Amino acid sequence: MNLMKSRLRILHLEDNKYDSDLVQAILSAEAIDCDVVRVETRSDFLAAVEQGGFDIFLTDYTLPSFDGVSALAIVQEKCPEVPFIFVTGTLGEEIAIETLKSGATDYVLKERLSRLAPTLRRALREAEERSERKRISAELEQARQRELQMRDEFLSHVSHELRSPLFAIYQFTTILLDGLAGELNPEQLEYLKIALKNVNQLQTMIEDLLEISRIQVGKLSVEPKPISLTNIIDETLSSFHEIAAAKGITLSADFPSELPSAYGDPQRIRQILTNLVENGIKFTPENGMIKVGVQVSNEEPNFLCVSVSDNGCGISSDDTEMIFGRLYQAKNTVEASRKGLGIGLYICKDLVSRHGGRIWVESQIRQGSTFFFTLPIFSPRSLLASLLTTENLLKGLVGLIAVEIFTPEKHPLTRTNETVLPEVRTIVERSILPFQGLLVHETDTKWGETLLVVTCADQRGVEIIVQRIQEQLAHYKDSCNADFDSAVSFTMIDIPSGINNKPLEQVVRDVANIIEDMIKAKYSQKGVIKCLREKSS
Amino acid sequence: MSKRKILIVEDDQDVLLGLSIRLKASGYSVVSATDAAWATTVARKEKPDLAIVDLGLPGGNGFLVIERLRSIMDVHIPIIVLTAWDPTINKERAFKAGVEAFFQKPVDNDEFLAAIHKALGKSG
Repeated sequence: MNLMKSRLRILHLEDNKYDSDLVQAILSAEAIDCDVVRVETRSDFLAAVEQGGFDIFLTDYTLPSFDGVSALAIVQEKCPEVPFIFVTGTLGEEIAIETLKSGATDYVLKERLSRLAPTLRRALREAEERSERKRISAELEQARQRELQMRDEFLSHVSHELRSPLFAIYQFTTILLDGLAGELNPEQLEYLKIALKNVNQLQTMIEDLLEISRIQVGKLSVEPKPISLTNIIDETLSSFHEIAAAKGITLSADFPSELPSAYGDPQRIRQILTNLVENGIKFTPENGMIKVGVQVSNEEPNFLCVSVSDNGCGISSDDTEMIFGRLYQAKNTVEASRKGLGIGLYICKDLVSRHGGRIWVESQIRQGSTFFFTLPIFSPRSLLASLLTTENLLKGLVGLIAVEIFTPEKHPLTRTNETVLPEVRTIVERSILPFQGLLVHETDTKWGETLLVVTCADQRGVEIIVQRIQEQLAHYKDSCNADFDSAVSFTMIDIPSGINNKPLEQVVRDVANIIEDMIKAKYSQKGVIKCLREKSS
Repeated sequence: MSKRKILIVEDDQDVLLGLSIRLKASGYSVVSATDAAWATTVARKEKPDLAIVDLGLPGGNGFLVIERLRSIMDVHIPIIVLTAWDPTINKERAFKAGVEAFFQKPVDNDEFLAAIHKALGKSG
């Protein structure tokens, strides 16, 4: 222990030299080997604390030019782990309790200095124990992180090693299925299709393994932006069209005509939906039905609630909590005998909570299950508020610029999409001066991308921005031989009259609503997803 | 028009055979190399129209092959990466090296063929 190991260094905040000498004498009488440094002003105290190296602080409560409570605040900021003891003649019971509450280690009254040595010993012992506990828990945490890291690397390694043989199996199965090695009879075809189905399952499991490892080491990322859930639901359902049809299962979607944008990561939300719909199909008998719905949550008006219902085998009430745990698998169900690692819902739960939402299930045995999850509603007002200041609004007009990029038949993984769209985004962002505009960006159709910019300028100003964007895009196209077409257009938005008489918040709300309505009216029929993104200036 | 020639750089013999069958069935002619050093020799001799490159290769990784192909070919041919390696780490690097597309194994046949078709269409 510190006390035994070396000579203690004590900082004593005390205006009375005799009191300090007394303290020192008592401590040496108690065989506490120490150096006591006495200070009595704020600047000396601060300098000593900053210099560091003290094992304990003893302070008087009131001093001519400083006080013990301020000293405590300094210590708590600079070195909270060092024990801090009031040694004072003027501490009433109430104040004493207050000081302890505000973080002092202990107090000793000057008329009972015999208590000083035991108090000091105890304080030091406790500080030692605290720091030991802290060190151990830091070590444990480090070890845990190291182990997770190693497991992540191992899992990552294994799952990548699994990919090549899996790919070879896929290749030759499809070579046979496609008749590239000669005609097959119907029975052979059927068996190969079973093999292919299992290849796909195995691939999903590999992805899941990687995902769960990412969750544990905190590598799984969520990049939320404003998105239209209806599009994502439509896309997800259509990707299951064939599989559902093969089982005679009807897939349907149900959402109100007006639905606010959600704030989420489109890829992750697609992943959640895919998981839930896949589960639904797995546990729903032939000719069953799966319905996906979305609406503004009844309980939480700032959230959208998505539901995925099936009329399958249902989940017993004992299991409804457990299914979101890791490695859970439905028991006693023939259908679920071998269909995955049982981590799909665990991943879903993690992803939903990373969006700030929650996920749960309501179910009745043999009647079916409905999975619900919530996602926050995106409000463009908060974004637009930074742009629509009184000053900007008083300039009169607000413009909406649309930059449409067409990339015909581009595959999502090709170089064009990967590099052109971010480039275009950068070009558009650079063409708007800070505080002049916000990039309001839409995404996610396979054929094109529209970037929307809300600007605060008069018509001439907006025209200049449009021209600048056009020139920059043309320059980029030529210099990089990029393969896309673009169209830039704009609309002016009238600011409601009499804004001077209304509170600014109200005006921002009005204008934001007008802009939202315009974006909706103009672009939602095309089935695009609207995205507002704050211009990074 | 003569068949377009594709160079496959792939050390896994089974995957290589599978790819060759698939590509030949789609009307391409195929040449191959199973390591980084051989890849350049084959490319120099055969003058392929497109290369499919694996990243994990004996004798230097696929990035080296991409670099060498770029420097020895008179005409820049499109290069497609097909690898088991993690795209989160390697995809950006591959695009910076100028590859046309990046696929992680296993890849869907139709998607892969579409990317080849498109890459060849662009290079004329």
